[in-house]
Amino acid sequence: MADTIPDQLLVRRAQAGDRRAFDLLVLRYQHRLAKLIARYVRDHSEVMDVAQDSFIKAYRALPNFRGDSAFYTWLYRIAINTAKNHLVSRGRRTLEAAVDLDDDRREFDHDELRDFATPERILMRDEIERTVIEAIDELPEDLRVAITLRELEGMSYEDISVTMECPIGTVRSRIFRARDAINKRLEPLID
Amino acid sequence: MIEEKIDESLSALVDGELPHASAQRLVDRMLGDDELRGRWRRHHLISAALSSQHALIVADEELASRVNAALDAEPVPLPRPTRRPLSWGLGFAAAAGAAALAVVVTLGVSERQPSLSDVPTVATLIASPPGRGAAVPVPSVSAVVALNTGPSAAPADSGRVLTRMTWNDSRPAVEARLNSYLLDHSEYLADGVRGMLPYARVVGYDQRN
Repeated sequence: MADTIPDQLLVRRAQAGDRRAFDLLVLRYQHRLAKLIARYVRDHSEVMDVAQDSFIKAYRALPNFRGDSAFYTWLYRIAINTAKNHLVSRGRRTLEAAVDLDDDRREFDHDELRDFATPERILMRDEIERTVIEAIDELPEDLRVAITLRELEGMSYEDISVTMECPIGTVRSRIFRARDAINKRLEPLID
Repeated sequence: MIEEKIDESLSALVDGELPHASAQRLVDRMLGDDELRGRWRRHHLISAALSSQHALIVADEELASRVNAALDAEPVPLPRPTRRPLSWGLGFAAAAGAAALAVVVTLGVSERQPSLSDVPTVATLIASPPGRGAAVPVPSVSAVVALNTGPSAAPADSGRVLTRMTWNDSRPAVEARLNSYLLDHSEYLADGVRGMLPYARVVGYDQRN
């Protein structure tokens, strides 16, 4: 799977002792992992604790990761076990009986979020979301369609090129220009 | 223009759509470039914000820096040893070396044989079946091993005596330090000749977490 190429490269470097490579893996998967853990643990600080523990366990176990599965699948298992152990250690039962690998992609409803986030975080999250959506709305149509097909539909560049009837190179350029425009709007907000 | 090209490649890398060789070059570059790291971070933040309505943006730099701070106290994980098949020449050299070592050990033991007869060792007892009189120690590696188990042998020299000790201290700081020692020790051991037991104690401890 093409998606795993950056993971493989970063994992290999992290296994060779490069901490910066592991940092890039954390940046890549922290949102997805936090969202997954929030299925089990609702309190924000606990989610952060469990996510941190999961990454640290993954780092410790990294020399034993042989790449038989995708890095995220492996990380996912560590996170689920860490979250369950966290609940057991606090004498609580799990919030959900079973969580699928793709469940972290499921949308949160408002009630779940209310349980989970602090007002400051909701404000920050809303601000980021609003900025991203405004930036997308202001994009020329070809860029907007390309980034939407990629981010919302999860389509490959090849599939997008078929859908938009343009070469893959053009798809790549459009997605980049869309991201660049969003990035410029987002930068002052989060840095 | 070049910068823009790199940024475009980074965007493709985020999506896993960059050819392997280019991905490799870009990852190398990104590891030493904070600006590229920042872009990598923001691209994933955008994905997180877009991938679901009311996206759960809980992490970002806060979690990454927490993980980094925690990992600062961690020992560096040992890289997995890469097993390369021995070439014919190297294999022959290794076999010749092992044979030469065996000859040296055997000769060494033979020279020490007279003094061995005075020492009751495990090897002499094993080598003397009942009713066959005093056993003559067999000049072999096992005799040398048995010599080390004798009462006069200093504990530091008893390379074959395995001592089991238990470790009950589970404080994270102590564990982290102990892990660090063990990894350093393992690294030292790993420097030894492959297939030979190094002249050092093999240590480890149960980690129940």
